[in-house]
Amino acid sequence: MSIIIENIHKSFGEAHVLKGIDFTFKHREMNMILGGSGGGKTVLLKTMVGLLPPDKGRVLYDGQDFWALDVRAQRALRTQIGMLFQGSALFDSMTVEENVAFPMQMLTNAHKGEIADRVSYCLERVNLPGKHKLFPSELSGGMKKRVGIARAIVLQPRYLFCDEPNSGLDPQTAKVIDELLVELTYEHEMTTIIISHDINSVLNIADHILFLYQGKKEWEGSRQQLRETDNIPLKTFLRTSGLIT
Amino acid sequence: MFLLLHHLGRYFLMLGSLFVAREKVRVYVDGTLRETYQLGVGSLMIVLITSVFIGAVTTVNTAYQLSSALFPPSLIGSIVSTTGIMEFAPTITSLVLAGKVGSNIASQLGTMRVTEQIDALEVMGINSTSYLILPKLLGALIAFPILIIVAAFLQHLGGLVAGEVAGIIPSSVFHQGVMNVYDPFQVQFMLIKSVVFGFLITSIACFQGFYVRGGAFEVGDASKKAVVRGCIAILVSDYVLAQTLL
Ligand SMILES: Nc1ncnc2c1ncn2[C@@H]1O[C@H](COP(=O)(O)OP(=O)(O)OP(=O)(O)O)[C@@H](O)[C@H]1O
Ligand SMILES: [Mg+2]
Repeated sequence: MSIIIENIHKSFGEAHVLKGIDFTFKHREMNMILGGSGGGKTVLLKTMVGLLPPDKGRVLYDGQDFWALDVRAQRALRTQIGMLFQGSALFDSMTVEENVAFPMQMLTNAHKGEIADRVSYCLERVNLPGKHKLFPSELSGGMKKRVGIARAIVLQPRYLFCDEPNSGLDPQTAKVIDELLVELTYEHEMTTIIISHDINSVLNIADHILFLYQGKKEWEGSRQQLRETDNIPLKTFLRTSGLIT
Repeated sequence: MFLLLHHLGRYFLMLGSLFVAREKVRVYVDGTLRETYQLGVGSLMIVLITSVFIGAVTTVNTAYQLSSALFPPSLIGSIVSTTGIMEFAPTITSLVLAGKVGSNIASQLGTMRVTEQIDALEVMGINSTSYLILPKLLGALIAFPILIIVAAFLQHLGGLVAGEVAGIIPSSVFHQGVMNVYDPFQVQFMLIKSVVFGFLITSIACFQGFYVRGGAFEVGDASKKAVVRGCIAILVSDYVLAQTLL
Protein backbone atom coordinates (compact mmCIF):
# COMPACT_ATOMS: atom_id res chain seq x y z
CA MET A 1 0.00 0.00 0.00
CA SER A 2 3.00 2.28 -0.03
CA ILE A 3 4.00 4.16 -3.16
CA ILE A 4 7.61 4.00 -4.22
CA ILE A 5 9.01 6.31 -6.84
CA GLU A 6 12.32 5.52 -8.49
CA ASN A 7 14.54 7.88 -10.42
CA ILE A 8 11.74 10.12 -11.73
CA HIS A 9 12.88 12.53 -14.44
CA LYS A 10 10.73 15.08 -16.18
CA SER A 11 11.63 17.89 -18.57
CA PHE A 12 9.58 20.44 -20.44
CA GLY A 13 11.65 21.42 -23.45
CA GLU A 14 14.89 22.78 -22.06
CA ALA A 15 13.68 22.93 -18.48
CA HIS A 16 14.74 19.88 -16.54
CA VAL A 17 12.20 20.05 -13.73
CA LEU A 18 12.67 16.70 -11.97
CA LYS A 19 16.17 15.27 -11.97
CA GLY A 20 15.91 11.75 -10.66
CA ILE A 21 13.79 11.49 -7.52
CA ASP A 22 13.56 8.43 -5.30
CA PHE A 23 11.19 8.27 -2.37
CA THR A 24 8.90 5.95 -0.47
CA PHE A 25 5.50 7.33 0.46
CA LYS A 26 4.49 5.28 3.44
CA HIS A 27 1.18 3.64 4.11
CA ARG A 28 -0.96 5.07 6.95
CA GLU A 29 1.27 8.12 7.15
CA MET A 30 1.07 11.77 6.30
CA ASN A 31 3.68 12.15 3.58
CA MET A 32 4.48 15.77 2.83
CA ILE A 33 6.29 17.35 -0.06
CA LEU A 34 8.02 20.68 0.58
CA GLY A 35 9.83 22.93 -1.81
CA GLY A 36 9.98 26.38 -3.33
CA SER A 37 7.41 27.68 -5.78
CA GLY A 38 8.05 26.36 -9.28
CA GLY A 39 10.19 23.60 -7.84
CA GLY A 40 8.26 20.80 -9.49
CA LYS A 41 6.04 19.61 -6.66
CA THR A 42 2.87 19.64 -8.71
CA VAL A 43 4.67 18.04 -11.63
CA LEU A 44 5.88 15.24 -9.35
CA LEU A 45 2.35 14.66 -8.08
CA LYS A 46 1.02 14.54 -11.64
CA THR A 47 3.57 11.92 -12.67
CA MET A 48 2.38 9.85 -9.72
CA VAL A 49 -1.38 10.05 -10.38
CA GLY A 50 -0.97 9.30 -14.05
CA LEU A 51 -1.46 12.71 -15.62
CA LEU A 52 2.07 13.39 -16.84
CA PRO A 53 4.23 10.50 -17.99
CA PRO A 54 7.74 10.79 -16.55
CA ASP A 55 10.59 10.82 -19.06
CA LYS A 56 12.32 8.17 -17.02
CA GLY A 57 11.68 6.29 -13.80
CA ARG A 58 8.97 4.21 -12.19
CA VAL A 59 5.97 4.86 -9.94
CA LEU A 60 5.22 1.71 -7.98
CA TYR A 61 1.85 1.20 -6.31
CA ASP A 62 2.19 -1.94 -4.22
CA GLY A 63 4.99 -3.03 -6.50
CA GLN A 64 3.07 -2.37 -9.74
CA ASP A 65 4.56 0.24 -12.04
CA PHE A 66 1.68 2.57 -12.95
CA TRP A 67 3.19 3.60 -16.26
CA ALA A 68 3.79 0.00 -17.35
CA LEU A 69 0.17 -1.08 -16.77
CA ASP A 70 -2.30 -1.34 -19.62
CA VAL A 71 -5.09 1.22 -19.88
CA ARG A 72 -7.66 -0.94 -18.14
CA ALA A 73 -5.42 -1.67 -15.15
CA GLN A 74 -4.51 2.01 -14.94
CA ARG A 75 -8.19 2.90 -14.78
CA ALA A 76 -8.82 0.33 -12.08
CA LEU A 77 -5.97 1.74 -10.03
CA ARG A 78 -7.21 5.28 -10.56
CA THR A 79 -10.51 4.50 -8.89
CA GLN A 80 -8.47 4.03 -5.71
CA ILE A 81 -6.86 7.44 -6.04
CA GLY A 82 -8.38 10.63 -4.72
CA MET A 83 -6.86 13.92 -5.73
CA LEU A 84 -7.29 17.53 -4.74
CA PHE A 85 -5.92 19.85 -7.42
CA GLN A 86 -4.04 23.03 -6.64
CA GLY A 87 -6.79 25.02 -8.37
CA SER A 88 -9.55 22.71 -7.05
CA ALA A 89 -10.68 21.77 -10.59
CA LEU A 90 -14.35 21.56 -9.65
CA PHE A 91 -16.77 20.92 -12.51
CA ASP A 92 -18.27 24.35 -12.97
CA SER A 93 -21.41 23.13 -14.68
CA MET A 94 -22.36 21.23 -11.53
CA THR A 95 -23.41 22.28 -8.05
CA VAL A 96 -21.33 21.51 -4.98
CA GLU A 97 -23.49 18.50 -4.26
CA GLU A 98 -23.27 17.18 -7.82
CA ASN A 99 -19.51 17.64 -7.84
CA VAL A 100 -19.09 15.51 -4.74
CA ALA A 101 -21.62 12.93 -5.92
CA PHE A 102 -20.08 12.66 -9.37
CA PRO A 103 -17.41 9.97 -8.74
CA MET A 104 -19.98 7.84 -6.93
CA GLN A 105 -22.53 8.18 -9.71
CA MET A 106 -20.02 7.40 -12.40
CA LEU A 107 -18.03 4.63 -10.79
CA THR A 108 -20.29 2.81 -8.36
CA ASN A 109 -23.75 1.29 -8.40
CA ALA A 110 -24.83 3.08 -5.25
CA HIS A 111 -28.41 4.31 -5.34
CA LYS A 112 -29.63 7.85 -4.84
CA GLY A 113 -30.21 7.67 -1.10
CA GLU A 114 -26.79 6.22 -0.39
CA ILE A 115 -25.11 8.82 -2.56
CA ALA A 116 -26.99 11.68 -0.90
CA ASP A 117 -26.03 10.42 2.57
CA ARG A 118 -22.40 10.03 1.65
CA VAL A 119 -22.30 13.49 0.02
CA SER A 120 -23.81 15.16 3.09
CA TYR A 121 -21.39 13.29 5.31
CA CYS A 122 -18.35 14.36 3.24
CA LEU A 123 -19.48 17.98 3.07
CA GLU A 124 -19.98 18.02 6.81
CA ARG A 125 -16.50 16.62 7.35
CA VAL A 126 -14.98 19.50 5.40
CA ASN A 127 -17.07 21.97 7.37
CA LEU A 128 -19.37 22.97 4.53
CA PRO A 129 -22.89 22.13 5.56
CA GLY A 130 -25.75 23.90 3.81
CA LYS A 131 -23.85 24.83 0.65
CA HIS A 132 -25.13 21.90 -1.40
CA LYS A 133 -26.91 23.86 -4.08
CA LEU A 134 -24.28 26.50 -4.82
CA PHE A 135 -22.19 26.49 -7.98
CA PRO A 136 -18.38 26.66 -7.83
CA SER A 137 -18.45 30.22 -9.20
CA GLU A 138 -20.37 31.22 -6.07
CA LEU A 139 -17.72 29.88 -3.68
CA SER A 140 -14.60 31.44 -2.24
CA GLY A 141 -11.22 29.91 -3.04
CA GLY A 142 -11.00 28.20 0.31
CA MET A 143 -14.51 26.80 0.01
CA LYS A 144 -13.64 25.37 -3.40
CA LYS A 145 -10.63 23.66 -1.85
CA ARG A 146 -12.86 22.04 0.72
CA VAL A 147 -15.38 20.86 -1.88
CA GLY A 148 -12.37 19.47 -3.77
CA ILE A 149 -11.35 17.52 -0.69
CA ALA A 150 -14.89 16.24 -0.21
CA ARG A 151 -14.91 15.05 -3.81
CA ALA A 152 -11.51 13.41 -3.41
CA ILE A 153 -12.56 11.37 -0.39
CA VAL A 154 -16.10 10.46 -1.42
CA LEU A 155 -15.06 7.04 -2.73
CA GLN A 156 -12.84 6.30 0.28
CA PRO A 157 -9.64 6.13 -1.75
CA ARG A 158 -6.62 4.15 -0.64
CA TYR A 159 -4.30 6.85 -1.92
CA LEU A 160 -5.05 10.51 -1.31
CA PHE A 161 -3.11 13.27 -3.05
CA CYS A 162 -3.59 16.87 -1.99
CA ASP A 163 -1.95 19.77 -3.78
CA GLU A 164 -1.88 22.57 -1.20
CA PRO A 165 -5.08 21.75 0.71
CA ASN A 166 -4.50 24.68 3.05
CA SER A 167 -3.61 27.54 0.80
CA GLY A 168 -6.20 30.26 0.94
CA LEU A 169 -7.75 29.06 4.18
CA ASP A 170 -7.87 30.96 7.46
CA PRO A 171 -5.78 29.37 10.24
CA GLN A 172 -8.81 27.90 11.94
CA THR A 173 -10.23 26.18 8.87
CA ALA A 174 -6.72 25.13 7.90
CA LYS A 175 -6.46 23.37 11.22
CA VAL A 176 -9.83 21.68 10.72
CA ILE A 177 -8.72 20.44 7.32
CA ASP A 178 -5.40 19.19 8.70
CA GLU A 179 -7.16 17.27 11.43
CA LEU A 180 -9.62 15.87 8.93
CA LEU A 181 -6.82 14.63 6.68
CA VAL A 182 -5.04 13.01 9.63
CA GLU A 183 -8.21 11.32 10.85
CA LEU A 184 -9.07 10.01 7.42
CA THR A 185 -5.57 8.74 6.88
CA TYR A 186 -5.63 6.66 10.03
CA GLU A 187 -9.32 5.69 9.92
CA HIS A 188 -9.28 4.48 6.33
CA GLU A 189 -5.64 3.38 6.35
CA MET A 190 -4.76 5.59 3.42
CA THR A 191 -1.45 6.58 1.97
CA THR A 192 -1.72 10.34 2.04
CA ILE A 193 0.54 12.68 0.11
CA ILE A 194 0.29 16.38 0.69
CA ILE A 195 2.04 19.28 -0.92
CA SER A 196 2.10 22.14 1.52
CA HIS A 197 3.44 25.62 1.94
CA ASP A 198 1.83 25.89 5.33
CA ILE A 199 4.62 25.32 7.75
CA ASN A 200 2.27 24.96 10.69
CA SER A 201 0.62 21.96 9.18
CA VAL A 202 4.01 20.48 8.32
CA LEU A 203 5.09 20.76 11.93
CA ASN A 204 1.78 19.49 13.27
CA ILE A 205 0.90 16.57 11.07
CA ALA A 206 3.75 15.50 8.77
CA ASP A 207 5.08 12.00 9.45
CA HIS A 208 7.44 11.74 6.54
CA ILE A 209 8.79 14.72 4.65
CA LEU A 210 10.34 15.06 1.19
CA PHE A 211 12.14 18.33 0.51
CA LEU A 212 12.63 19.11 -3.19
CA TYR A 213 15.37 21.50 -4.14
CA GLN A 214 16.63 22.24 -7.65
CA GLY A 215 14.83 19.23 -9.06
CA LYS A 216 16.29 16.76 -6.61
CA LYS A 217 15.47 15.23 -3.27
CA GLU A 218 17.56 17.41 -1.00
CA TRP A 219 16.39 15.97 2.28
CA GLU A 220 13.94 13.50 3.82
CA GLY A 221 12.94 12.77 7.37
CA SER A 222 10.35 13.12 10.08
CA ARG A 223 9.04 16.36 11.59
CA GLN A 224 11.28 15.90 14.64
CA GLN A 225 14.29 15.57 12.38
CA LEU A 226 13.12 18.65 10.47
CA ARG A 227 13.48 20.83 13.56
CA GLU A 228 17.02 19.67 14.15
CA THR A 229 18.23 19.59 10.58
CA ASP A 230 21.54 21.11 9.58
CA ASN A 231 20.84 20.85 5.85
CA ILE A 232 21.59 24.36 4.56
CA PRO A 233 18.99 24.70 1.74
CA LEU A 234 16.30 23.27 4.01
CA LYS A 235 17.25 25.59 6.86
CA THR A 236 17.18 28.53 4.50
CA PHE A 237 13.78 27.44 3.22
CA LEU A 238 12.43 27.08 6.76
CA ARG A 239 13.94 30.33 7.92
CA THR A 240 12.34 32.31 5.10
CA SER A 241 9.07 30.62 5.98
CA GLY A 242 9.43 32.20 9.40
CA LEU A 243 9.59 28.85 11.10
CA ILE A 244 12.96 28.81 12.80
CA THR A 245 15.25 31.69 13.52
CA MET B 1 2.65 19.47 -44.14
CA PHE B 2 4.11 17.44 -41.30
CA LEU B 3 2.10 19.51 -38.85
CA LEU B 4 -1.08 18.88 -40.81
CA LEU B 5 -0.48 15.12 -40.71
CA HIS B 6 0.30 15.35 -37.01
CA HIS B 7 -3.00 17.12 -36.32
CA LEU B 8 -4.95 14.75 -38.53
CA GLY B 9 -3.37 11.81 -36.74
CA ARG B 10 -4.34 13.16 -33.36
CA TYR B 11 -7.83 13.94 -34.62
CA PHE B 12 -8.37 10.33 -35.67
CA LEU B 13 -6.81 9.05 -32.46
CA MET B 14 -9.32 11.15 -30.56
CA LEU B 15 -12.19 9.73 -32.60
CA GLY B 16 -10.86 6.22 -31.97
CA SER B 17 -10.58 6.75 -28.24
CA LEU B 18 -14.29 7.59 -28.08
CA PHE B 19 -15.18 3.98 -28.42
CA VAL B 20 -13.12 2.52 -25.64
CA ALA B 21 -15.99 3.60 -23.45
CA ARG B 22 -16.35 2.00 -20.10
CA GLU B 23 -18.87 4.18 -18.35
CA LYS B 24 -22.42 3.08 -17.79
CA VAL B 25 -24.72 3.24 -20.80
CA ARG B 26 -27.10 5.51 -18.91
CA VAL B 27 -24.40 8.16 -18.67
CA TYR B 28 -24.20 8.30 -22.45
CA VAL B 29 -27.95 8.15 -23.00
CA ASP B 30 -28.55 11.01 -20.57
CA GLY B 31 -25.66 13.00 -21.98
CA THR B 32 -26.80 12.54 -25.57
CA LEU B 33 -30.37 13.58 -24.77
CA ARG B 34 -29.09 16.67 -22.97
CA GLU B 35 -26.80 17.67 -25.83
CA THR B 36 -29.48 17.04 -28.46
CA TYR B 37 -31.91 19.20 -26.55
CA GLN B 38 -29.43 22.01 -25.96
CA LEU B 39 -28.22 22.02 -29.53
CA GLY B 40 -31.66 21.65 -31.08
CA VAL B 41 -33.67 24.05 -28.98
CA GLY B 42 -30.76 26.44 -28.52
CA SER B 43 -30.33 26.82 -32.27
CA LEU B 44 -33.97 27.07 -33.32
CA MET B 45 -34.14 30.86 -33.21
CA ILE B 46 -31.08 31.47 -35.35
CA VAL B 47 -32.18 28.79 -37.81
CA LEU B 48 -35.59 30.40 -38.01
CA ILE B 49 -34.22 33.85 -38.73
CA THR B 50 -31.65 32.78 -41.33
CA SER B 51 -33.99 30.41 -43.12
CA VAL B 52 -36.96 32.73 -43.49
CA PHE B 53 -34.79 35.52 -44.84
CA ILE B 54 -32.83 33.30 -47.19
CA GLY B 55 -36.06 31.92 -48.62
CA ALA B 56 -37.43 35.41 -49.09
CA VAL B 57 -34.25 36.74 -50.70
CA THR B 58 -33.94 33.79 -53.06
CA THR B 59 -37.47 34.39 -54.28
CA VAL B 60 -36.87 38.07 -54.93
CA ASN B 61 -33.50 37.44 -56.61
CA THR B 62 -34.82 34.65 -58.79
CA ALA B 63 -37.80 36.70 -59.85
CA TYR B 64 -35.46 39.55 -60.80
CA GLN B 65 -33.29 37.26 -62.93
CA LEU B 66 -36.24 35.58 -64.63
CA SER B 67 -38.17 38.76 -65.40
CA SER B 68 -39.05 37.68 -68.89
CA ALA B 69 -42.22 36.33 -70.42
CA LEU B 70 -40.32 33.28 -71.67
CA PHE B 71 -40.32 31.62 -68.27
CA PRO B 72 -43.43 30.34 -66.53
CA PRO B 73 -43.77 32.08 -63.11
CA SER B 74 -43.96 28.75 -61.32
CA LEU B 75 -40.28 28.28 -62.20
CA ILE B 76 -39.48 30.70 -59.36
CA GLY B 77 -41.00 28.28 -56.87
CA SER B 78 -39.09 25.39 -58.44
CA ILE B 79 -35.75 27.15 -58.25
CA VAL B 80 -36.25 28.36 -54.69
CA SER B 81 -37.20 24.85 -53.66
CA THR B 82 -34.35 23.02 -55.36
CA THR B 83 -31.59 25.38 -54.32
CA GLY B 84 -33.06 25.54 -50.84
CA ILE B 85 -33.17 21.80 -50.30
CA MET B 86 -29.92 20.97 -52.01
CA GLU B 87 -27.72 23.83 -50.96
CA PHE B 88 -29.03 26.68 -48.86
CA ALA B 89 -30.80 24.76 -46.11
CA PRO B 90 -28.00 22.31 -45.31
CA THR B 91 -24.95 24.40 -46.17
CA ILE B 92 -25.82 27.90 -45.02
CA THR B 93 -27.55 26.66 -41.90
CA SER B 94 -24.47 24.57 -41.09
CA LEU B 95 -22.15 27.50 -41.69
CA VAL B 96 -24.19 29.56 -39.27
CA LEU B 97 -24.22 26.72 -36.76
CA ALA B 98 -20.47 26.23 -37.18
CA GLY B 99 -20.10 29.69 -35.69
CA LYS B 100 -22.57 29.19 -32.90
CA VAL B 101 -22.06 25.55 -31.96
CA GLY B 102 -18.37 25.29 -32.86
CA SER B 103 -17.25 28.21 -30.73
CA ASN B 104 -19.49 27.12 -27.89
CA ILE B 105 -18.10 23.58 -27.76
CA ALA B 106 -14.48 24.60 -28.22
CA SER B 107 -14.56 27.22 -25.49
CA GLN B 108 -16.41 24.94 -23.12
CA LEU B 109 -13.95 22.07 -23.51
CA GLY B 110 -11.00 24.45 -23.63
CA THR B 111 -11.98 26.00 -20.32
CA MET B 112 -12.40 22.56 -18.80
CA ARG B 113 -8.92 21.70 -20.00
CA VAL B 114 -7.12 24.77 -18.69
CA THR B 115 -8.88 24.65 -15.32
CA GLU B 116 -7.83 20.99 -15.00
CA GLN B 117 -11.40 19.68 -14.99
CA ILE B 118 -10.44 17.19 -17.69
CA ASP B 119 -7.46 16.08 -15.61
CA ALA B 120 -9.82 15.61 -12.69
CA LEU B 121 -11.95 13.26 -14.80
CA GLU B 122 -8.86 11.34 -15.86
CA VAL B 123 -7.62 10.94 -12.30
CA MET B 124 -10.99 9.48 -11.34
CA GLY B 125 -10.47 6.83 -14.00
CA ILE B 126 -13.12 8.19 -16.36
CA ASN B 127 -12.50 8.14 -20.10
CA SER B 128 -12.69 11.89 -20.57
CA THR B 129 -12.92 11.81 -24.37
CA SER B 130 -15.86 9.48 -24.47
CA TYR B 131 -17.56 11.08 -21.48
CA LEU B 132 -17.30 14.61 -22.85
CA ILE B 133 -17.20 14.20 -26.62
CA LEU B 134 -19.34 11.20 -27.52
CA PRO B 135 -22.64 12.71 -26.27
CA LYS B 136 -21.90 15.92 -28.19
CA LEU B 137 -21.26 14.02 -31.41
CA LEU B 138 -24.34 11.84 -31.05
CA GLY B 139 -26.40 14.88 -30.11
CA ALA B 140 -25.25 16.65 -33.28
CA LEU B 141 -26.03 13.63 -35.45
CA ILE B 142 -29.60 13.71 -34.12
CA ALA B 143 -30.17 17.46 -33.94
CA PHE B 144 -28.60 18.57 -37.23
CA PRO B 145 -30.92 16.69 -39.59
CA ILE B 146 -33.92 17.93 -37.62
CA LEU B 147 -32.72 21.53 -37.66
CA ILE B 148 -32.03 21.35 -41.36
CA ILE B 149 -35.44 19.91 -42.17
CA VAL B 150 -36.90 22.82 -40.22
CA ALA B 151 -34.61 25.19 -42.14
CA ALA B 152 -35.73 23.83 -45.52
CA PHE B 153 -39.36 24.13 -44.55
CA LEU B 154 -38.91 27.71 -43.35
CA GLN B 155 -37.07 28.69 -46.51
CA HIS B 156 -40.04 27.54 -48.56
CA LEU B 157 -42.32 29.44 -46.25
CA GLY B 158 -40.17 32.58 -46.43
CA GLY B 159 -40.07 32.38 -50.23
CA LEU B 160 -43.78 31.82 -50.50
CA VAL B 161 -44.66 34.70 -48.21
CA ALA B 162 -42.18 37.08 -49.84
CA GLY B 163 -43.54 36.25 -53.28
CA GLU B 164 -47.09 36.87 -52.18
CA VAL B 165 -46.41 40.03 -50.18
CA ALA B 166 -44.30 41.68 -52.87
CA GLY B 167 -46.81 40.68 -55.51
CA ILE B 168 -44.17 38.71 -57.43
CA ILE B 169 -45.86 35.37 -57.54
CA PRO B 170 -49.13 34.10 -56.04
CA SER B 171 -48.66 31.48 -53.40
CA SER B 172 -50.60 28.86 -55.34
CA VAL B 173 -48.28 29.24 -58.32
CA PHE B 174 -45.25 29.08 -56.05
CA HIS B 175 -46.59 25.92 -54.51
CA GLN B 176 -47.21 24.47 -57.95
CA GLY B 177 -43.58 25.20 -58.89
CA VAL B 178 -42.33 23.46 -55.77
CA MET B 179 -44.40 20.37 -56.42
CA ASN B 180 -43.27 20.21 -60.06
CA VAL B 181 -39.68 19.54 -59.07
CA TYR B 182 -40.16 17.63 -55.84
CA ASP B 183 -37.73 14.69 -55.76
CA PRO B 184 -37.16 12.51 -52.70
CA PHE B 185 -33.52 12.06 -53.68
CA GLN B 186 -32.92 15.75 -53.07
CA VAL B 187 -34.24 15.37 -49.56
CA GLN B 188 -31.99 12.36 -48.98
CA PHE B 189 -29.06 14.36 -50.28
CA MET B 190 -29.92 17.16 -47.85
CA LEU B 191 -30.08 14.74 -44.94
CA ILE B 192 -26.76 13.13 -45.84
CA LYS B 193 -25.18 16.56 -45.95
CA SER B 194 -26.66 17.56 -42.63
CA VAL B 195 -25.25 14.46 -40.91
CA VAL B 196 -21.81 14.98 -42.42
CA PHE B 197 -21.73 18.68 -41.59
CA GLY B 198 -22.97 18.11 -38.05
CA PHE B 199 -20.29 15.51 -37.47
CA LEU B 200 -17.53 17.71 -38.91
CA ILE B 201 -18.49 20.84 -36.98
CA THR B 202 -18.78 19.02 -33.68
CA SER B 203 -15.75 16.78 -33.96
CA ILE B 204 -13.49 19.62 -35.12
CA ALA B 205 -14.69 21.89 -32.31
CA CYS B 206 -14.19 19.12 -29.75
CA PHE B 207 -10.70 18.49 -31.07
CA GLN B 208 -9.75 22.16 -30.90
CA GLY B 209 -11.13 22.59 -27.40
CA PHE B 210 -10.02 19.32 -25.90
CA TYR B 211 -6.32 19.74 -26.65
CA VAL B 212 -5.90 23.37 -25.64
CA ARG B 213 -2.74 24.16 -23.70
CA GLY B 214 -2.39 27.37 -21.75
CA GLY B 215 -5.00 29.82 -20.56
CA ALA B 216 -7.79 32.18 -21.54
CA PHE B 217 -5.94 33.42 -24.62
CA GLU B 218 -5.49 29.93 -26.01
CA VAL B 219 -9.12 29.08 -25.30
CA GLY B 220 -10.18 32.07 -27.40
CA ASP B 221 -7.80 30.98 -30.12
CA ALA B 222 -9.18 27.44 -30.10
CA SER B 223 -12.69 28.78 -30.36
CA LYS B 224 -11.74 30.87 -33.39
CA LYS B 225 -9.98 27.94 -35.05
CA ALA B 226 -12.98 25.70 -34.42
CA VAL B 227 -15.18 28.10 -36.36
CA VAL B 228 -12.76 28.71 -39.24
CA ARG B 229 -11.81 25.07 -39.69
CA GLY B 230 -15.39 23.95 -39.27
CA CYS B 231 -16.47 26.28 -42.08
CA ILE B 232 -13.67 25.15 -44.35
CA ALA B 233 -14.52 21.52 -43.68
CA ILE B 234 -18.16 22.19 -44.57
CA LEU B 235 -17.30 23.89 -47.85
CA VAL B 236 -14.82 21.22 -48.92
CA SER B 237 -17.08 18.32 -48.01
CA ASP B 238 -20.01 20.09 -49.67
CA TYR B 239 -18.12 20.04 -52.92
CA VAL B 240 -16.95 16.45 -52.45
CA LEU B 241 -20.47 15.26 -51.70
CA ALA B 242 -21.90 17.07 -54.70
CA GLN B 243 -19.25 15.53 -56.94
CA THR B 244 -19.72 12.00 -55.68
CA LEU B 245 -23.47 11.82 -55.11
CA LEU B 246 -24.88 13.88 -57.99
N1 LIG C 1 2.58 21.48 -18.61
C1 LIG C 1 3.72 22.15 -18.47
N2 LIG C 1 4.40 22.56 -19.55
C2 LIG C 1 5.56 23.22 -19.44
N3 LIG C 1 6.15 23.51 -18.27
C3 LIG C 1 5.53 23.14 -17.15
C4 LIG C 1 4.29 22.44 -17.19
N4 LIG C 1 3.91 22.19 -15.92
C5 LIG C 1 4.86 22.71 -15.13
N5 LIG C 1 5.84 23.28 -15.86
C6 LIG C 1 7.06 23.90 -15.33
O1 LIG C 1 7.58 23.05 -14.34
C7 LIG C 1 8.07 23.80 -13.24
C8 LIG C 1 7.50 23.24 -11.95
O2 LIG C 1 6.13 23.51 -11.88
P1 LIG C 1 5.21 23.02 -10.69
O3 LIG C 1 3.82 23.39 -11.03
O4 LIG C 1 5.47 21.60 -10.41
O5 LIG C 1 5.71 23.89 -9.47
P2 LIG C 1 5.28 23.78 -7.94
O6 LIG C 1 6.45 23.25 -7.20
O7 LIG C 1 4.01 23.04 -7.83
O8 LIG C 1 5.08 25.30 -7.57
P3 LIG C 1 3.93 26.00 -6.69
O9 LIG C 1 4.32 25.81 -5.28
O10 LIG C 1 4.01 27.42 -7.09
O11 LIG C 1 2.65 25.35 -7.04
C9 LIG C 1 7.73 25.24 -13.49
O12 LIG C 1 8.91 25.90 -13.87
C10 LIG C 1 6.74 25.21 -14.62
O13 LIG C 1 6.99 26.29 -15.47
MG1 LIG D 1 2.10 23.48 -7.46
